[in-house]
Amino acid sequence: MTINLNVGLVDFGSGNLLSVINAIEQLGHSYTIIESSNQLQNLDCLVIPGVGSFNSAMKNLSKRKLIEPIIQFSREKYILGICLGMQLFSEVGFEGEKTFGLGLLKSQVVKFRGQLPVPHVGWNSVKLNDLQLQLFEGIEDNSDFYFTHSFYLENLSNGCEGVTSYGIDFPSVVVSNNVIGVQFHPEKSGKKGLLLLSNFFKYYVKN
Amino acid sequence: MLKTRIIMTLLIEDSHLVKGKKFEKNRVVDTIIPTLKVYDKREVDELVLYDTKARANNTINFDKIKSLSKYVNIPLAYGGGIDAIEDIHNILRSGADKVVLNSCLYTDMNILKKSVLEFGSQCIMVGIDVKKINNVYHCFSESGTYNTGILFDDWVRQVLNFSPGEIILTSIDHDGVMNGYDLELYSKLSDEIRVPIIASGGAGKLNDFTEVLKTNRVNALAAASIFHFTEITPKMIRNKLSQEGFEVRK
Repeated sequence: MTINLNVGLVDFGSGNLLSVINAIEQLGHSYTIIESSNQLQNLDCLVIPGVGSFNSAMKNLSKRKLIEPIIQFSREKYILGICLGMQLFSEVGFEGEKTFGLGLLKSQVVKFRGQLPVPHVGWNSVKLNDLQLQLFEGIEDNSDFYFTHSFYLENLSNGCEGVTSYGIDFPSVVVSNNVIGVQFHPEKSGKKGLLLLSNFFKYYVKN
Repeated sequence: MLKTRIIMTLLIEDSHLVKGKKFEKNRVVDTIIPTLKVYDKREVDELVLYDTKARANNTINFDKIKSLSKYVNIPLAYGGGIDAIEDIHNILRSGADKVVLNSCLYTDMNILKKSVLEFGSQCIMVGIDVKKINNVYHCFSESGTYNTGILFDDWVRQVLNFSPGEIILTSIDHDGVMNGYDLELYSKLSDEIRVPIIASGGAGKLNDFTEVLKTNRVNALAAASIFHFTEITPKMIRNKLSQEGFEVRK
Protein backbone atom coordinates (compact mmCIF):
# COMPACT_ATOMS: atom_id res chain seq x y z
CA MET A 1 0.00 0.00 0.00
CA THR A 2 1.21 3.47 -0.81
CA ILE A 3 1.93 5.65 2.15
CA ASN A 4 0.67 9.16 1.68
CA LEU A 5 3.70 11.44 1.69
CA ASN A 6 3.91 15.16 2.17
CA VAL A 7 5.99 16.32 -0.76
CA GLY A 8 7.45 19.83 -0.67
CA LEU A 9 7.42 21.71 -3.98
CA VAL A 10 9.50 24.77 -4.65
CA ASP A 11 7.63 27.26 -6.83
CA PHE A 12 9.57 29.71 -8.98
CA GLY A 13 6.46 31.51 -10.08
CA SER A 14 6.43 30.39 -13.69
CA GLY A 15 6.05 27.28 -15.74
CA ASN A 16 5.18 23.72 -15.11
CA LEU A 17 4.37 23.46 -11.41
CA LEU A 18 0.88 22.19 -12.20
CA SER A 19 2.16 19.22 -14.23
CA VAL A 20 4.27 18.12 -11.28
CA ILE A 21 1.34 18.58 -8.90
CA ASN A 22 -0.86 16.47 -11.21
CA ALA A 23 1.71 13.67 -11.17
CA ILE A 24 2.12 13.77 -7.37
CA GLU A 25 -1.64 13.63 -6.92
CA GLN A 26 -2.00 10.75 -9.39
CA LEU A 27 0.52 8.82 -7.30
CA GLY A 28 -1.61 9.38 -4.21
CA HIS A 29 0.58 11.85 -2.33
CA SER A 30 -0.03 15.28 -0.87
CA TYR A 31 2.03 18.35 -1.55
CA THR A 32 2.99 21.61 0.11
CA ILE A 33 4.13 24.58 -1.92
CA ILE A 34 7.20 25.98 -0.23
CA GLU A 35 7.21 29.74 0.14
CA SER A 36 9.40 30.02 3.24
CA SER A 37 11.91 27.93 5.18
CA ASN A 38 9.67 27.06 8.15
CA GLN A 39 7.51 24.97 5.80
CA LEU A 40 10.39 22.55 5.25
CA GLN A 41 10.00 20.96 8.67
CA ASN A 42 7.18 18.53 8.13
CA LEU A 43 8.09 17.29 4.69
CA ASP A 44 8.99 13.76 3.69
CA CYS A 45 10.96 14.91 0.67
CA LEU A 46 11.43 17.94 -1.53
CA VAL A 47 10.93 18.33 -5.29
CA ILE A 48 12.40 21.26 -7.19
CA PRO A 49 10.67 21.38 -10.58
CA GLY A 50 12.24 23.44 -13.23
CA VAL A 51 11.29 25.87 -15.86
CA GLY A 52 12.93 29.26 -16.00
CA SER A 53 16.52 30.44 -15.92
CA PHE A 54 19.30 29.52 -13.49
CA ASN A 55 19.96 33.12 -12.58
CA SER A 56 16.36 34.10 -11.87
CA ALA A 57 15.70 30.87 -9.96
CA MET A 58 18.66 31.38 -7.62
CA LYS A 59 17.66 35.01 -7.08
CA ASN A 60 14.19 33.83 -6.25
CA LEU A 61 15.49 31.28 -3.70
CA SER A 62 17.77 33.89 -2.22
CA LYS A 63 14.98 36.44 -1.88
CA ARG A 64 12.90 33.92 0.02
CA LYS A 65 15.87 32.92 2.20
CA LEU A 66 15.59 29.32 1.06
CA ILE A 67 19.15 28.58 -0.05
CA GLU A 68 20.67 27.58 3.32
CA PRO A 69 17.52 25.76 4.51
CA ILE A 70 17.42 23.65 1.30
CA ILE A 71 21.11 22.73 1.70
CA GLN A 72 20.40 21.81 5.32
CA PHE A 73 17.35 19.77 4.25
CA SER A 74 19.51 17.78 1.80
CA ARG A 75 21.67 16.56 4.69
CA GLU A 76 18.66 14.88 6.28
CA LYS A 77 16.20 14.02 3.54
CA TYR A 78 16.03 13.42 -0.20
CA ILE A 79 15.61 16.16 -2.79
CA LEU A 80 14.59 15.54 -6.39
CA GLY A 81 15.59 18.19 -8.91
CA ILE A 82 13.85 18.17 -12.27
CA CYS A 83 15.48 19.88 -15.27
CA LEU A 84 16.48 23.36 -14.02
CA GLY A 85 15.88 22.01 -10.51
CA MET A 86 18.70 19.52 -11.03
CA GLN A 87 20.94 22.18 -12.57
CA LEU A 88 20.54 24.35 -9.45
CA PHE A 89 22.35 21.63 -7.45
CA SER A 90 25.56 22.65 -9.25
CA GLU A 91 28.21 24.99 -7.93
CA VAL A 92 27.82 27.53 -10.69
CA GLY A 93 25.63 28.26 -13.69
CA PHE A 94 26.17 30.40 -16.76
CA GLU A 95 22.59 31.06 -17.84
CA GLY A 96 21.89 34.79 -17.82
CA GLU A 97 25.07 35.69 -15.96
CA LYS A 98 27.51 33.66 -13.90
CA THR A 99 25.54 32.63 -10.81
CA PHE A 100 26.36 30.45 -7.83
CA GLY A 101 24.08 27.45 -7.38
CA LEU A 102 23.28 25.35 -4.33
CA GLY A 103 26.67 23.63 -4.52
CA LEU A 104 25.33 20.16 -3.74
CA LEU A 105 26.97 18.69 -6.84
CA LYS A 106 30.45 19.39 -8.12
CA SER A 107 29.59 20.55 -11.61
CA GLN A 108 28.82 23.62 -13.64
CA VAL A 109 25.90 24.40 -15.89
CA VAL A 110 26.77 25.40 -19.44
CA LYS A 111 24.94 25.84 -22.73
CA PHE A 112 25.02 23.26 -25.53
CA ARG A 113 27.63 24.14 -28.12
CA GLY A 114 27.93 22.58 -31.53
CA GLN A 115 25.78 22.10 -34.56
CA LEU A 116 22.54 20.69 -33.22
CA PRO A 117 19.54 22.94 -32.64
CA VAL A 118 19.19 24.38 -29.15
CA PRO A 119 17.05 23.94 -27.07
CA HIS A 120 17.22 20.18 -27.00
CA VAL A 121 13.49 19.42 -27.09
CA GLY A 122 11.81 16.07 -27.43
CA TRP A 123 12.07 12.41 -26.53
CA ASN A 124 15.55 11.08 -26.02
CA SER A 125 16.95 7.97 -24.41
CA VAL A 126 18.72 7.52 -21.09
CA LYS A 127 21.63 5.10 -20.87
CA LEU A 128 22.06 3.86 -17.34
CA ASN A 129 25.39 3.18 -15.65
CA ASP A 130 23.87 0.81 -13.13
CA LEU A 131 20.99 -1.35 -14.27
CA GLN A 132 20.06 -2.01 -10.64
CA LEU A 133 19.42 1.65 -9.87
CA GLN A 134 16.24 1.77 -7.77
CA LEU A 135 15.06 4.99 -9.37
CA PHE A 136 14.72 3.01 -12.63
CA GLU A 137 13.13 -0.11 -11.23
CA GLY A 138 10.80 -1.50 -13.91
CA ILE A 139 12.17 0.86 -16.58
CA GLU A 140 14.41 -0.64 -19.27
CA ASP A 141 17.79 0.79 -20.16
CA ASN A 142 17.70 3.24 -23.10
CA SER A 143 14.08 4.23 -22.43
CA ASP A 144 12.99 7.60 -23.79
CA PHE A 145 12.03 10.57 -21.67
CA TYR A 146 10.90 14.08 -22.53
CA PHE A 147 13.61 16.75 -22.49
CA THR A 148 13.40 20.49 -22.98
CA HIS A 149 16.55 22.45 -22.09
CA SER A 150 19.47 24.44 -23.47
CA PHE A 151 21.92 23.95 -20.60
CA TYR A 152 23.47 20.84 -19.10
CA LEU A 153 25.79 19.70 -16.30
CA GLU A 154 29.45 19.77 -17.27
CA ASN A 155 32.42 18.35 -15.34
CA LEU A 156 30.20 16.46 -12.93
CA SER A 157 32.68 14.82 -10.56
CA ASN A 158 30.50 12.05 -9.18
CA GLY A 159 26.96 10.74 -9.01
CA CYS A 160 26.28 10.43 -12.73
CA GLU A 161 23.93 7.45 -13.09
CA GLY A 162 22.61 7.99 -16.60
CA VAL A 163 23.66 9.81 -19.74
CA THR A 164 21.90 11.07 -22.84
CA SER A 165 23.42 11.90 -26.21
CA TYR A 166 22.80 15.15 -27.99
CA GLY A 167 25.94 16.01 -29.86
CA ILE A 168 27.76 15.15 -26.66
CA ASP A 169 26.95 12.76 -23.82
CA PHE A 170 25.59 14.71 -20.87
CA PRO A 171 24.42 13.57 -17.42
CA SER A 172 20.67 13.03 -17.46
CA VAL A 173 20.38 11.17 -14.14
CA VAL A 174 22.32 12.02 -11.01
CA VAL A 175 22.22 10.31 -7.62
CA SER A 176 24.61 11.68 -5.03
CA ASN A 177 23.87 11.04 -1.35
CA ASN A 178 20.43 12.57 -0.81
CA VAL A 179 20.48 14.57 -4.01
CA ILE A 180 18.65 13.11 -7.01
CA GLY A 181 18.44 14.92 -10.31
CA VAL A 182 16.94 14.23 -13.71
CA GLN A 183 17.52 16.49 -16.69
CA PHE A 184 14.28 15.34 -18.36
CA HIS A 185 10.69 15.88 -17.23
CA PRO A 186 9.32 12.68 -15.64
CA GLU A 187 5.97 14.43 -15.14
CA LYS A 188 5.74 14.74 -18.95
CA SER A 189 7.23 11.39 -19.91
CA GLY A 190 4.13 9.24 -19.89
CA LYS A 191 3.98 5.95 -18.01
CA LYS A 192 7.73 5.58 -17.55
CA GLY A 193 8.01 9.06 -16.13
CA LEU A 194 5.28 8.34 -13.59
CA LEU A 195 7.00 5.08 -12.70
CA LEU A 196 10.26 6.93 -12.07
CA LEU A 197 8.49 9.40 -9.77
CA SER A 198 6.78 6.53 -8.01
CA ASN A 199 10.19 4.85 -7.49
CA PHE A 200 11.56 8.09 -6.05
CA PHE A 201 8.74 8.24 -3.51
CA LYS A 202 9.18 4.55 -2.74
CA TYR A 203 12.94 4.29 -2.35
CA TYR A 204 14.23 7.77 -1.67
CA VAL A 205 12.12 8.85 1.23
CA LYS A 206 13.33 8.42 4.76
CA ASN A 207 10.71 7.74 7.37
CA MET B 1 19.34 11.12 -30.57
CA LEU B 2 15.94 12.77 -30.66
CA LYS B 3 13.05 10.59 -31.69
CA THR B 4 10.46 11.30 -34.37
CA ARG B 5 7.40 12.49 -32.50
CA ILE B 6 3.81 11.51 -33.20
CA ILE B 7 1.54 14.34 -32.19
CA MET B 8 -2.22 14.33 -31.90
CA THR B 9 -3.99 17.58 -32.67
CA LEU B 10 -7.32 18.11 -30.98
CA LEU B 11 -9.79 20.78 -31.98
CA ILE B 12 -12.04 21.74 -29.13
CA GLU B 13 -15.34 23.46 -29.43
CA ASP B 14 -17.15 23.91 -26.16
CA SER B 15 -16.90 20.53 -24.46
CA HIS B 16 -16.49 18.53 -27.66
CA LEU B 17 -13.78 17.56 -30.05
CA VAL B 18 -14.47 18.49 -33.63
CA LYS B 19 -12.83 17.79 -36.94
CA GLY B 20 -13.53 19.07 -40.42
CA LYS B 21 -12.01 19.09 -43.87
CA LYS B 22 -9.81 21.86 -45.21
CA PHE B 23 -10.52 23.86 -42.03
CA GLU B 24 -14.26 23.86 -42.74
CA LYS B 25 -17.40 21.98 -41.78
CA ASN B 26 -16.24 20.97 -38.34
CA ARG B 27 -18.35 18.24 -36.85
CA VAL B 28 -18.37 16.70 -33.41
CA VAL B 29 -16.26 13.55 -33.29
CA ASP B 30 -15.73 12.85 -29.60
CA THR B 31 -15.94 14.12 -26.06
CA ILE B 32 -12.73 15.63 -24.83
CA ILE B 33 -11.77 13.98 -21.58
CA PRO B 34 -12.28 10.32 -22.56
CA THR B 35 -10.25 10.95 -25.72
CA LEU B 36 -7.44 12.62 -23.79
CA LYS B 37 -7.28 9.67 -21.42
CA VAL B 38 -7.21 7.18 -24.29
CA TYR B 39 -4.38 8.91 -26.12
CA ASP B 40 -2.38 9.54 -22.97
CA LYS B 41 -2.66 5.79 -22.33
CA ARG B 42 -1.90 4.89 -25.94
CA GLU B 43 1.27 6.92 -25.62
CA VAL B 44 1.01 9.44 -28.35
CA ASP B 45 4.15 11.58 -27.89
CA GLU B 46 2.53 14.96 -27.56
CA LEU B 47 -0.84 16.71 -27.73
CA VAL B 48 -1.72 20.00 -29.38
CA LEU B 49 -5.04 21.48 -28.33
CA TYR B 50 -6.70 24.17 -30.43
CA ASP B 51 -9.70 26.07 -29.21
CA THR B 52 -11.42 26.87 -32.49
CA LYS B 53 -13.77 29.44 -30.96
CA ALA B 54 -11.31 31.29 -28.74
CA ARG B 55 -10.45 34.00 -31.25
CA ALA B 56 -14.02 34.60 -32.38
CA ASN B 57 -15.19 34.69 -28.76
CA ASN B 58 -12.22 36.84 -27.84
CA THR B 59 -11.55 34.75 -24.77
CA ILE B 60 -9.21 31.95 -23.72
CA ASN B 61 -10.73 29.40 -21.41
CA PHE B 62 -7.92 28.95 -18.86
CA ASP B 63 -10.09 26.84 -16.56
CA LYS B 64 -10.66 24.38 -19.36
CA ILE B 65 -6.93 24.11 -20.09
CA LYS B 66 -6.36 23.56 -16.38
CA SER B 67 -8.96 20.84 -16.08
CA LEU B 68 -7.78 19.06 -19.24
CA SER B 69 -4.09 19.17 -18.31
CA LYS B 70 -4.91 17.02 -15.29
CA TYR B 71 -5.40 14.02 -17.55
CA VAL B 72 -2.21 14.40 -19.52
CA ASN B 73 1.27 13.17 -18.58
CA ILE B 74 2.85 14.08 -21.87
CA PRO B 75 3.69 17.48 -23.35
CA LEU B 76 0.63 19.59 -24.03
CA ALA B 77 0.51 22.61 -26.31
CA TYR B 78 -2.36 25.09 -26.57
CA GLY B 79 -3.35 27.36 -29.44
CA GLY B 80 -6.26 29.72 -30.01
CA GLY B 81 -6.99 33.35 -29.27
CA ILE B 82 -3.57 34.30 -27.94
CA ASP B 83 -2.91 38.03 -28.22
CA ALA B 84 -0.66 38.98 -25.33
CA ILE B 85 2.28 37.89 -23.23
CA GLU B 86 -0.12 37.75 -20.29
CA ASP B 87 -2.19 35.13 -22.13
CA ILE B 88 0.89 32.94 -22.57
CA HIS B 89 1.79 33.30 -18.92
CA ASN B 90 -1.71 32.22 -17.89
CA ILE B 91 -1.81 29.30 -20.34
CA LEU B 92 1.49 27.95 -19.01
CA ARG B 93 0.24 28.44 -15.45
CA SER B 94 -2.85 26.44 -16.41
CA GLY B 95 -0.77 23.35 -17.08
CA ALA B 96 0.14 23.61 -20.77
CA ASP B 97 3.81 23.23 -21.64
CA LYS B 98 3.81 25.18 -24.87
CA VAL B 99 1.70 27.63 -26.81
CA VAL B 100 1.03 27.90 -30.52
CA LEU B 101 1.17 31.46 -31.87
CA ASN B 102 -0.43 32.00 -35.25
CA SER B 103 -2.97 34.70 -36.20
CA CYS B 104 -1.70 37.29 -33.73
CA LEU B 105 1.73 37.33 -35.41
CA TYR B 106 0.32 38.80 -38.62
CA THR B 107 -0.57 41.97 -36.75
CA ASP B 108 2.22 41.99 -34.18
CA MET B 109 5.42 39.99 -34.54
CA ASN B 110 6.64 41.53 -31.31
CA ILE B 111 4.74 38.99 -29.24
CA LEU B 112 6.96 36.26 -30.68
CA LYS B 113 10.14 38.13 -29.87
CA LYS B 114 8.98 38.99 -26.36
CA SER B 115 7.63 35.55 -25.54
CA VAL B 116 10.79 33.76 -26.65
CA LEU B 117 12.78 36.06 -24.37
CA GLU B 118 10.45 35.70 -21.44
CA PHE B 119 9.49 32.02 -21.54
CA GLY B 120 12.25 30.48 -23.66
CA SER B 121 11.94 29.22 -27.21
CA GLN B 122 11.23 25.67 -26.00
CA CYS B 123 7.64 26.61 -25.16
CA ILE B 124 6.88 28.83 -28.13
CA MET B 125 5.57 27.14 -31.27
CA VAL B 126 4.54 29.05 -34.36
CA GLY B 127 1.59 27.73 -36.32
CA ILE B 128 1.57 28.47 -40.05
CA ASP B 129 -1.46 27.53 -42.15
CA VAL B 130 -0.93 27.59 -45.88
CA LYS B 131 -3.02 27.13 -48.99
CA LYS B 132 -1.75 26.78 -52.53
CA ILE B 133 -3.07 29.46 -54.88
CA ASN B 134 -1.75 29.58 -58.45
CA ASN B 135 1.02 27.21 -57.46
CA VAL B 136 2.30 29.43 -54.65
CA TYR B 137 1.75 28.86 -50.94
CA HIS B 138 -0.11 31.69 -49.21
CA CYS B 139 -0.40 32.13 -45.45
CA PHE B 140 -3.87 32.16 -43.95
CA SER B 141 -4.89 33.38 -40.51
CA GLU B 142 -8.04 33.23 -38.35
CA SER B 143 -8.39 29.43 -38.62
CA GLY B 144 -7.84 29.50 -42.36
CA THR B 145 -10.58 32.03 -43.11
CA TYR B 146 -8.42 35.01 -43.98
CA ASN B 147 -5.81 35.21 -46.73
CA THR B 148 -3.06 37.38 -45.30
CA GLY B 149 -1.62 37.93 -48.78
CA ILE B 150 1.75 36.95 -47.39
CA LEU B 151 3.68 34.23 -49.18
CA PHE B 152 4.88 31.32 -47.09
CA ASP B 153 8.53 31.63 -48.09
CA ASP B 154 8.65 35.25 -46.94
CA TRP B 155 6.74 34.58 -43.76
CA VAL B 156 8.82 31.65 -42.58
CA ARG B 157 11.97 33.74 -43.03
CA GLN B 158 10.49 36.51 -40.85
CA VAL B 159 9.34 34.07 -38.21
CA LEU B 160 12.73 32.37 -38.00
CA ASN B 161 14.38 35.70 -37.18
CA PHE B 162 12.83 35.44 -33.74
CA SER B 163 13.88 31.85 -32.96
CA PRO B 164 10.65 30.05 -32.08
CA GLY B 165 11.11 26.57 -30.63
CA GLU B 166 9.33 24.84 -33.49
CA ILE B 167 6.97 25.42 -36.38
CA ILE B 168 3.77 23.49 -36.96
CA LEU B 169 3.13 23.79 -40.67
CA THR B 170 -0.35 22.85 -41.83
CA SER B 171 -1.58 22.44 -45.37
CA ILE B 172 -5.18 23.63 -45.41
CA ASP B 173 -5.82 21.79 -48.71
CA HIS B 174 -4.76 18.50 -47.18
CA ASP B 175 -6.37 18.99 -43.76
CA GLY B 176 -8.90 16.29 -42.91
CA VAL B 177 -8.77 14.79 -46.40
CA MET B 178 -6.69 11.81 -45.19
CA ASN B 179 -4.95 11.47 -48.51
CA GLY B 180 -1.38 12.03 -47.36
CA TYR B 181 0.67 15.03 -46.27
CA ASP B 182 1.48 17.79 -48.76
CA LEU B 183 4.83 16.36 -49.84
CA GLU B 184 5.54 19.27 -52.16
CA LEU B 185 5.20 21.78 -49.33
CA TYR B 186 7.61 19.99 -47.01
CA SER B 187 10.16 18.86 -49.57
CA LYS B 188 10.63 22.47 -50.69
CA LEU B 189 11.60 23.64 -47.19
CA SER B 190 15.11 25.01 -47.08
CA ASP B 191 17.63 22.74 -45.42
CA GLU B 192 18.94 25.81 -43.65
CA ILE B 193 15.90 25.78 -41.37
CA ARG B 194 17.19 24.38 -38.10
CA VAL B 195 13.99 24.80 -36.11
CA PRO B 196 12.01 21.56 -35.83
CA ILE B 197 9.17 21.38 -38.35
CA ILE B 198 5.96 19.54 -37.50
CA ALA B 199 4.07 18.31 -40.56
CA SER B 200 0.32 18.64 -40.22
CA GLY B 201 -2.63 17.88 -42.46
CA GLY B 202 -3.52 14.83 -44.46
CA ALA B 203 -2.41 11.70 -42.61
CA GLY B 204 -4.84 8.90 -43.42
CA LYS B 205 -2.78 5.71 -43.55
CA LEU B 206 0.49 4.38 -42.16
CA ASN B 207 2.41 5.02 -45.34
CA ASP B 208 1.65 8.74 -45.20
CA PHE B 209 3.88 9.16 -42.16
CA THR B 210 6.92 7.53 -43.71
CA GLU B 211 6.40 9.32 -47.02
CA VAL B 212 6.59 12.77 -45.44
CA LEU B 213 9.57 11.78 -43.28
CA LYS B 214 11.43 10.77 -46.42
CA THR B 215 11.45 14.44 -47.49
CA ASN B 216 14.07 14.77 -44.72
CA ARG B 217 12.62 18.13 -43.80
CA VAL B 218 10.21 17.33 -40.99
CA ASN B 219 10.95 16.29 -37.43
CA ALA B 220 7.52 15.47 -36.10
CA LEU B 221 4.17 14.26 -37.40
CA ALA B 222 0.85 15.72 -36.39
CA ALA B 223 -2.42 14.01 -37.15
CA ALA B 224 -6.07 14.11 -36.08
CA SER B 225 -8.54 12.44 -38.45
CA ILE B 226 -6.57 9.20 -38.60
CA PHE B 227 -7.03 8.86 -34.83
CA HIS B 228 -10.69 9.89 -34.86
CA PHE B 229 -11.83 7.90 -37.88
CA THR B 230 -9.58 4.84 -38.22
CA GLU B 231 -8.34 2.05 -35.99
CA ILE B 232 -4.73 3.16 -36.39
CA THR B 233 -2.99 3.78 -33.05
CA PRO B 234 0.21 5.66 -32.17
CA LYS B 235 1.83 2.30 -31.52
CA MET B 236 1.07 1.08 -35.03
CA ILE B 237 2.58 4.27 -36.45
CA ARG B 238 5.67 3.84 -34.27
CA ASN B 239 6.09 0.26 -35.46
CA LYS B 240 5.80 1.32 -39.06
CA LEU B 241 8.36 4.11 -38.63
CA SER B 242 10.70 1.81 -36.79
CA GLN B 243 10.49 -0.80 -39.57
CA GLU B 244 11.50 1.86 -42.08
CA GLY B 245 14.51 2.91 -40.03
CA PHE B 246 13.19 6.00 -38.25
CA GLU B 247 13.97 6.32 -34.55
CA VAL B 248 10.88 6.40 -32.34
CA ARG B 249 10.19 6.57 -28.64
CA LYS B 250 10.55 3.41 -26.62
